[in-house]
This record gives sequence, structure tokens and C-alpha cells, in this order.
Amino acid sequence: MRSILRAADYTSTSVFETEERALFRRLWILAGFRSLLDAPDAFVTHRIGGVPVVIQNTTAGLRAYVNRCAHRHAPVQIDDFGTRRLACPYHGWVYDGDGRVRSIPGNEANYGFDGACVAALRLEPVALRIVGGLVFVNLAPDPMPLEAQFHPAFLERAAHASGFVGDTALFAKFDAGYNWKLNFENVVDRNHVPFVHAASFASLAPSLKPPAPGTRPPSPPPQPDAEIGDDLRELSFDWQASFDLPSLPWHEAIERCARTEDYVNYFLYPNVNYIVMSGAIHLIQQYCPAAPDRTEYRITMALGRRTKRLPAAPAILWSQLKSEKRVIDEDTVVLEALQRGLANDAPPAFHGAGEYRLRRIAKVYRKLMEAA
Amino acid sequence: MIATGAPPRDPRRLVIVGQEPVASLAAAIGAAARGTDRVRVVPLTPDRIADFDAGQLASEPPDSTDAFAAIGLSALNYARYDLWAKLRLAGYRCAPLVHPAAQVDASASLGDNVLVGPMAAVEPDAALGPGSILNAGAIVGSSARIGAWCWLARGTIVGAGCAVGDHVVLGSGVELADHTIFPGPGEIDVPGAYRGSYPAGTFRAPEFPDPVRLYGVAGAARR
Repeated sequence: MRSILRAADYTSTSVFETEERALFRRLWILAGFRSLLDAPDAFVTHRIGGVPVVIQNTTAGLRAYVNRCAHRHAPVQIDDFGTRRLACPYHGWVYDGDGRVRSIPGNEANYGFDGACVAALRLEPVALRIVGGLVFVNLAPDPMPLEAQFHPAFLERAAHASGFVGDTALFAKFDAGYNWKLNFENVVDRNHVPFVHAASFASLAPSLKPPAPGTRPPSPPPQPDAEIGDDLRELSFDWQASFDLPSLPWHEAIERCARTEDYVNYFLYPNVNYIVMSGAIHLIQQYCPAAPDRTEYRITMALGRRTKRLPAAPAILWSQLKSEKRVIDEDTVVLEALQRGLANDAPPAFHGAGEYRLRRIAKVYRKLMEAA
Repeated sequence: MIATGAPPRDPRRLVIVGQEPVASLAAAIGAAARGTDRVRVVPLTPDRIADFDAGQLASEPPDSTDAFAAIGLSALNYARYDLWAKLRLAGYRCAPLVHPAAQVDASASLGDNVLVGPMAAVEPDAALGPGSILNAGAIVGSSARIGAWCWLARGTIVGAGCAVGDHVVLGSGVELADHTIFPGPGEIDVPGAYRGSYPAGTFRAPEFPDPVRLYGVAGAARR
């Protein structure tokens, strides 16, 4: 059956702009791991739905703001992450934990703002929720309840796993030449794994090898379109598999939330795959829309909390991250070629009954877009 | 003043524990200084590094034998560090090894278990921390500081006055301009010229177009 998404949904600038409003400025977006923001003045920046956002550990606690100085709209934090007070680098305006202007260097001589004016100046707040070790933000003025987007039981499981995340991580970002939706569809589509990742990822997972001819997969059951629901919460789910993952000496130095062989995905619609490997490595993949045919791919790879000294932690993460990137590159080759072939008059994708998750994503996406 | 070639013949034996290609290079350097009959290699397969027990060297006691941990850049040189620690705890001295065709200025200082490969050069007042390995043709400029447990690949150039931290890997074709600061841990594996000051925990590799950076370790990602 044909997908209800057209090629233009992956290529059109107007669709992209609608997505920014209807999805990314309306839904809860996973911003990162809480444990990486524990230090005073620690911050992380994002661009969500075209809006720059900063999440900062302030004297008032963890806060999110539009990353735009009240003065000339320069970003108050420029780097992707770091530890720096909430102050605009352009003219030195300093903000307090509640986002209010605390000081303006040379106000009297250079600007002449009176006290009432300064008191009214502030950063625009953004809603923030912490779930276990995960930080979510929402740009809507009146955000929907988090539980309207994610099933409470799913949130509970993700909260439990992320509660084990430690304070050491590597961060990488790079451009990918395809629409962000292709990436979320790709990670929930297990059928591509034996073919695209035959020499890498698939070799670790017997359950992901192609079934023998004539065998029928025990799940998922085929479902006709009419039975595919449009509940937003169904788009986010977790999936656990047993992989041939080795037990490593450094595992003893990490507080782990799962067994060595466990590979767990938490798919968080619209644009995150949170992966836990051997209960020891926690990986967030974020597929951030940059243009209809361009995605900013952000990776944060963290170790679990350490129970003893582990000086080699950066080396462990660096080695794992390079392996992860090789798998991602295998996807990128296919997805970028797919994107290049999406002329506006290309027919919609053709889904089998077993691909009900992809059809559900399309159905809910269409509903969200039409509501805008 | 440049000291070229092998030092006077060392009467102590040398046991080299590790993997190729570092083990062979270390053995060649050791043989040039001490004679082939005084050098022995104990090979380790990758899966045996963690299990190595210095008791295996009982026939070569530390009072008459030096040792050398000859592991490559695995895990940002932490594997070599772990092996060295076992050798040191067993009482072995892990003296630096300098290839006869290397040039090390007499004013330079070399830490324990340092290896300076053929045609490599260490210029006046430079310092190499323990366990660092300069592969063939690598150059460390005058007054430069290389931290502990670093790996400088073939032909790497570290300019005068540079400061390179601990557990840093510099790949082939990397050239740090004079006075560049590159704290560890980190890696640059993209050939080219680098200058300025980098945050601790910076990683460059061909598969990542932008630097990868470390969160959370003291000194990293702080400004």
C-alpha cells in the first residue's frame, strides 16, 4: 500500500516550515542528558524549529530560554555545550537564573535604561521537564502534557535507564544530506539492518539477520490501514534485543542498568533515538531539521556512572563513537541517495502490512501537520 | 649539542613486552645498544594485554633487567600505560629507547618507557613525558612539551614551544605550529596544520568533519 506521505513532504520548503511550527515548536523535544548539566553554569544549546534554545544550569536550577539576548538578539551562549555564565558575549549583558537582566555594563553612559526598563528585560522562557536523566524542552506557549506525547510506562522505563548516565560524554555533530523524517523512519525500520549493516551492526545481532526462506516473523502482526491508530504516544517506544556484545573489563567500573548482551532503543518521536548498550554506554542520536534536504545529526555518547576510577573513559568513548559513526555512515550513503531521488512527482513509498510502524508515523505526522 | 646514534653498550638485559610493530622497533633499538643476546621479546596478543602477569618474567629479575611496554596507540595509549604500571610495580626500570638514527639533543629530557624512532628528532630543551612514542621521522621542536603516554605517528611535527597534554595521539601528516596548545586527552588524525589553543578533550578524525569534544572530565569544555 502507498504511504500517505508524498515525496514533497521530504523536499518542500513550505512543508519544512510548517513542520517547524506544527511539530518542533509544539512537541516536547529531548534536549540531552541531565547529568551533563550538573556543573554550575553548564549549558547546552540547540536549534529547535528554527528557534535557538539554551538550557542552562543556573542559580535558580536548570532552566531553558530562547537563546537570544534581550538587547540585540545575539545568542547568549554560542557553543554547543560548555560551562559559562548566562551572559551575552556581544555587549556583556548578564542574566540571572530567572532570565532577568542582572547587569548591563555601562548602562548609564551607553544605553540610559531606567530601572523599570531593565527590570522588564528578560530572556524568553522555554518549558523544561526532567524525566530521570533526560531533559525535555517545549517551545509552545502552552505546552501539552509530556504524558500526552509519551506513554507514562515508556517514560518510566526511559527514566530508569537514563538515571544511570554519568558525567562523561563525547559530543559530535555533522550534516547529513537528507530530510530528518528519513532518519527517524530508518531507525524504527529493522528490515534494512541485514542489508545496510551486514558487516557491522547486523553481525552483532543474530535476531537481525534475514529470516530463513519460508519462515514467518512472529511479530509484528500485519495490520490493515484502518487499524493503524493515530495516537501520538504510539510513535515513541522501546525495543530490546540480545546482541553478541562482549563483557569488557571496564564494565566493572560502571553502574549498569542492563545486562552485557542487552541493546535497548528508546525511540522518541519526532527526532531522537536513545540507545543503551550493555547497560553501560548511553547514546543519544538527534536528527535536527536544518533544511528540507539537510539534517544536523548530533550525537552525545556517555558512560554510565562510574563506581571506581576509570581514567580511560575518554578513550573508551572515542573508540565506541568511531564504531557508531561507521554504522551511521552506512545509513547515510543510502539515505542521501534516496533523498536525491525524491523528485516532487516521485510516487509515495510502498509499505507492506508488516511496516505498520512506518504507516503509523505517517498517519500521526499528517494529523499533526493538518492541525497546524 | 646533538647526541646521535646509540649510547654506550648497556650491560643490563632488556625484556620487551608487547605487540608489533612497536615490539620489533623496541627490540631493534635495544639490540643496537645492548646486543641481540641481551634482548628478549615477550609477545602479547590483544586479548592477553589485560591478563599479563609480570611473574612471567621471573627468569629475568629487575635487578639485572630493564623492561619496556611496547603497545601501540590502543585506547589513547592507556593499554601501554596499564602494561607499564604492571612492569614498574614488579620492580622493572623502563628506560627510554632511542634509535641510533634518531637525533635527541642532550638538553632534551625523556621520561620512562619513551621510544624515539629512526630519523625522529627531539630538539633542545624539549621534554617527552613517560611512555610517549615518537615514530619514524617525528619531530619535537625546541622547548616543546609532550605529555605522558602520547603517540606521534610517522612524520608528525610538533613546533617549538608547543604544549601537548597526556594521552594525545597525533596522526601522520599532522603539524602543530609553534606554541600550539593541545591538552589531553585527545587525538588529531586529520593531516594538516594546526595552531592556537584547543580545549581539553578534542578529537579530530576523518569520519568527523568537525571536532568531537569531551564533556565532563576536569578541564574539558570549560571556558
